[in-house]
Parts: sequence; structure tokens; C-alpha cells
Amino acid sequence: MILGEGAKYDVSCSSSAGTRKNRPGGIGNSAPSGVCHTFTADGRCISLLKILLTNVCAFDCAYCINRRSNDIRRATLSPEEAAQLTVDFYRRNYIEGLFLSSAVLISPDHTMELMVRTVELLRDTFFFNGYIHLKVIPGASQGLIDRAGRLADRMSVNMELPHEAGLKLLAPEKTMKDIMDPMKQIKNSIEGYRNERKIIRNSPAFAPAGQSTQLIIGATDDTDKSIVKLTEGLYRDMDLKRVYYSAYIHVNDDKRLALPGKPPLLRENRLYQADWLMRFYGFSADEILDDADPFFDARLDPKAAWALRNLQYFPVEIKSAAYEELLRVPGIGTRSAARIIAARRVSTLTEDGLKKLGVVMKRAKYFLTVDGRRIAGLYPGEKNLREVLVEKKSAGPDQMELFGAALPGPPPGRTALLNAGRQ
Amino acid sequence: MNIYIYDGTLNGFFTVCRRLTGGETDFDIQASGREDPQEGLFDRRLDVATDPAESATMRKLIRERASRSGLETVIRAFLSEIKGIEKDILIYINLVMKEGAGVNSNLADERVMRVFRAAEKTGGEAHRLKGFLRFAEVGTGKFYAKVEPVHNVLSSLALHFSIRMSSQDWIIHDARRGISAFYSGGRIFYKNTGVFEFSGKEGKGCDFESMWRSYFNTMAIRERINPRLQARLVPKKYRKNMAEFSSY
Repeated sequence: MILGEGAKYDVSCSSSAGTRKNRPGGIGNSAPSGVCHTFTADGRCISLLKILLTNVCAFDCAYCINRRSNDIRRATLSPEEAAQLTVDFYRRNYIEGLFLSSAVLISPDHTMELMVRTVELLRDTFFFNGYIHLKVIPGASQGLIDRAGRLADRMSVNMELPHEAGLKLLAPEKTMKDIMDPMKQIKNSIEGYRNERKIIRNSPAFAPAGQSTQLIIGATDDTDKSIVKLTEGLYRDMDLKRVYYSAYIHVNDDKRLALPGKPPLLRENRLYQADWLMRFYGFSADEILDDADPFFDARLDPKAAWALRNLQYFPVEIKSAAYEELLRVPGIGTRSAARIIAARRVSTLTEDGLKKLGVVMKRAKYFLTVDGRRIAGLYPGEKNLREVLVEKKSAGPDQMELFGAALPGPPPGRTALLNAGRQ
Repeated sequence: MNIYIYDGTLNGFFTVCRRLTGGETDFDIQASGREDPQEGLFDRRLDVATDPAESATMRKLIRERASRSGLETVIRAFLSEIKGIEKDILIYINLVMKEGAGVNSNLADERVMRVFRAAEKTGGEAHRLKGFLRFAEVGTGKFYAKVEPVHNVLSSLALHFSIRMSSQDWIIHDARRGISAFYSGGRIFYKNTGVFEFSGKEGKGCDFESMWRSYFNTMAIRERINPRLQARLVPKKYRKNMAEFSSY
């Protein structure tokens, strides 16, 4: 299980957004909701068999455990072995599918060829229709990426470092071009195939569950604002399904790297919160953080922090506010906002009713009115609002896990450097 | 108070509902074999014989008044087998007959919320077990899985796996209720199998279970071990039927 050891730090475990159907005589399908098959002792969902084809690496990235200059046990699976293992695990319902990554064996193209071969075996020889997430090795050629995209459900190219300068310093064999070119190619193919499917319904799809990427947080000195901005750009320009963040974990002693210390888990958590705000709550990067203070508040989640800076929008009247306005209230999520809208059509909403609908009144009560009256009898006044909203226990790793681990999608935390170098 | 006793099936329950809609308000409905032993002095037990035609009529009425998804909610709530859920469902049916499907979106109403919450529990457990269920290969191409769900989710599991694992024969055994779903040659059928002893473990020499266990253990990040979080995500009651948690 050496190869699982190398892969475990990759944060993506999502098996969602696929709707691959089984074929007669085939094995498996994939469910749009995603399924967690078990949870590890640290509380993370195992959905996919997450393995490296090999941890033998030609690259020497400073942050990565599998780098060429490290003295570790090395192993390599053949495409046949990897495919067979996936099928045997799948038939026992251990897993939802395969997440295949690899270190760079000989060259990016050589590695990518082996990975594509594995996926071809699964789809064409085993008739496997379960979920497949395939990593793209930066620098792999267009032809290989094209073959891969027609077979995989999701593809991802890990950016790891937000800037060219960071790459030059820490991952000298990679360039931003090696990463952005495949990402663009995948984006264009997804779009192209999608348009074709509008005309010819049964024409093939390209990575139907979309593409994602991963960023390392804390290995270089970027501001939170610059990462949130980068994320916004990736969602907008690259049409990514997800951007994953992984708190930098110190595995190698290397003077180019930040000093050893605790992984910045709280920062990672705040980034996921901001990510959610951008994807589901209609916030822009500039609203989440301003240039004057480009870092997250350690004691306030980004939505509450935004609300405090923008009290002119509050309080919001529960009986008439639009969905978008409700979403901006701290303590109201997408589900409770939708329930409020549905419930107020058929009945009169009360404070008690709001609780039943799942609104977190502890925070929301300061921002709402019912029939023009504030809910919090004792409104603390603008000045004291911050004090009542801050998280009482300073957020540690425990809270972070509460945040993400229950879903198959958002990973809870620590991660991933190690695998970074596998690219 | 009248206590209506039905045979525990959905058809039996709908037959009772058909008799009671719009009628009396002080009543209780219990499944035979799961009756509440605390019978009051003035309670009267009435056995209701299952009538498929009456049940079909009831089903149609609910679908017309509460919408298709309302009917599905009712069935899932029924399958939750939560004590007293039958009466809650009938109260909901009476409400929806009077006021129509609009009540479905009023989750702030206790009468609606109870039924929806029960349905959510069944749906939630079914979803969990779609992931937590473990097959063992007990003969070439033949697989066996044992589950002990709190709610009655066997049919929903069988449907899921009939699509996913359509190229292998399998049995899903609900050991709590003594019912098994058999899948063979593209068809599902159910049988009362009682509580039979079956280890459900793969023979020696076939090492997928131990490979899976070692993969599972490798994936945990040591610095972040958190048994309480894990126990919330994989409740202990499911673990004895999951290869990665059994120790041998």
C-alpha cells in the first residue's frame, strides 16, 4: 500500500456530478450525488480508490515526499494490476470508482500513456462504468489528454503554486505553461463536446463531471485576497467545478521552503468558506476581502465579516426579502433560504418557525426582522455586534473537520503537498 | 379508543387509511407483531384485513392530492417503522386531502414535518448503506451482503444494486427483519429467510478484504485521528458488517 500512502494527501475525494449509466453486461454506474463508502479514522470520506500508478519520480519539487532526491521505498503498478484491483474493490462495493494519479516516471508523456492505458482497460476490457477521476501530468501531450478525457469522468491538473515565481523556486521542472495549457485544452474540449451533444444527443462526452485543481496554501507568501482572486478567475475563465486548497505540510527539509510549523488549517478552512460564498451565495472576491486588509479574520467566518462591514443592507425582512438577500444573512444557508421562501407562501412565518426550518438563529437573529420588528429583543448595537458573533472557541482543527467532512465533496483539511510532486 | 391492527405491510396500512380518512380522530394504528402491549381499559382492538383494491384506491387518492412526491414521502415515512408513525401519516393524509399538495412546502407545520422527517430518516439510511454495504464473493460470481438497518431500506438498496451490480448474482440479507433480496438473471425477488447464520466472509486465499483493510488504514492521517468524528460519520451499529472495521 505504498502507493496509497503517496496519494492520501490529495484532497479531492468527490465522486459527484457524474451520471454514467451502466451498460448491458457492464459493471457499475455513477450517482450524481456522490457516495461515501467509509470514513477513515481522521474522519475523511473514502469514496474512490485513490492511488498512484508509481511513486518513482523524475522531478525534484521541493515540497514533495516523492521527489527524486528523497530516499523512500518506490513501487510501480502495471495498468493491468491497477485496473484489476479497481474492479475487484468495486464489485465488493468498497468504492465508488478510481482516482488515479502518478509521480513522473521517465517523462510526463510516458506516465500519462500508462495512466490512459489503465483507464482504457477499465472502460473497454472490463466494461467498467464507475467513476474515474484522472490527474493530468503537467507537460503531457494534447493527444493523450484527448484520449483521457473521453474516458474519465473528471480530470484535474494541479496548480499547486499560485505563481510562476513560486514554481520556478520550488518546482523547477514545471512551468505555468505546462499547467495552464492542459487546463485550457480540457476546458475547450468540455465545451466543444457539450455543444456537439446539443445537436447530436448521443455523441460522446468529454470529462462529463468537469475539471478541478488544487492549490497549496502557505508554502509561498501569497495573501488570502490573491488566492481568492485567483480562484474566482479559475471558476470564471476555466469553468472549473472545484478548486481544492491544501494546507502546506512540511515533509522535506529544504531551505527554499517556509520553516517547519503547523499546517495553516484555519486559513485553509476560511478559503473553503470563501469558495462556497463565491459558488453558491453570489459573492465576488472583492466583496469577500478588500485590498486594505487582504487576510481573513481568524475569529469570524467570511460571511459574518462581510455582514459587519455592510450593515447598511440589514436588517432583512423575513417575509419579503428575495432569495439573494436571505442568502447574505449570516446563519442562513441555501437550504434554509429556499425553505423560507417555500414556507412563507403557505403560512405565516414566526421566529419559532424559522428555527424549525433550520436557520441558525444564534447568528441570524441580529440581521432579521419579522413584520418590521427585530427578532433579537436585545440588539447589542452595531459596536458590540462583532463581539457576539465571533467564534467562542478559537477555531482549531476540530472545527475544520466539522465544516467539511460530512460531505463527499469538500475535503476537511490537511493535505497535500506530498502528492503535489507526483505531477 | 379504537386500535386498528394491520398486517404490517404497506397494502395493509393503506387499507386502514382508506377506512379512517376523514373519520374518527381518537384512534391508533399498530402492526400485528409490533403492537404496543400497554392496552388501556377502554381500548378496542380491531383487526383490519388487507384489501389490495382499497389500498390501490388510497394510493391513487394520495397521488392525486399530495402529488407523486408526496406519495413517495408517505411510503418512505411508512418504511421508517418509527413507533407511532402510522398515526402521524394518517393525520398528514387527512390534512393533504383537505388542503391539497400546498401543505408539502410548509415544513414549519408539525403535522407535515413529522412525516417528512421520518421519510428523510429512511432516505438517509438508504443513502448511507449504499456506501456502507459490503459484498463478499461467496462463490464464483456470487456475492453476499448482510445489513441490519434501523429503517426498512431493503427495497431501495436492492433497486440501487440491481442497476450497479447487474452483471453478478447477489443476495442482500436484512438480518434484522429476516428478509433477503435475491438478484439473479436481471430480476429481484424477496424471500423470508429468517435469521440464518452465514459468515459472509470470503474464503482463505482470497485476500481482498485484508487488502481493503490495509488500504483503509493507510489512508488515515495519523496527526488528525478523531474517533468521535468518525463515529458520527460511520455509526458503530453499521461497523460489524463492514470489512474494514472487523478485526480478524
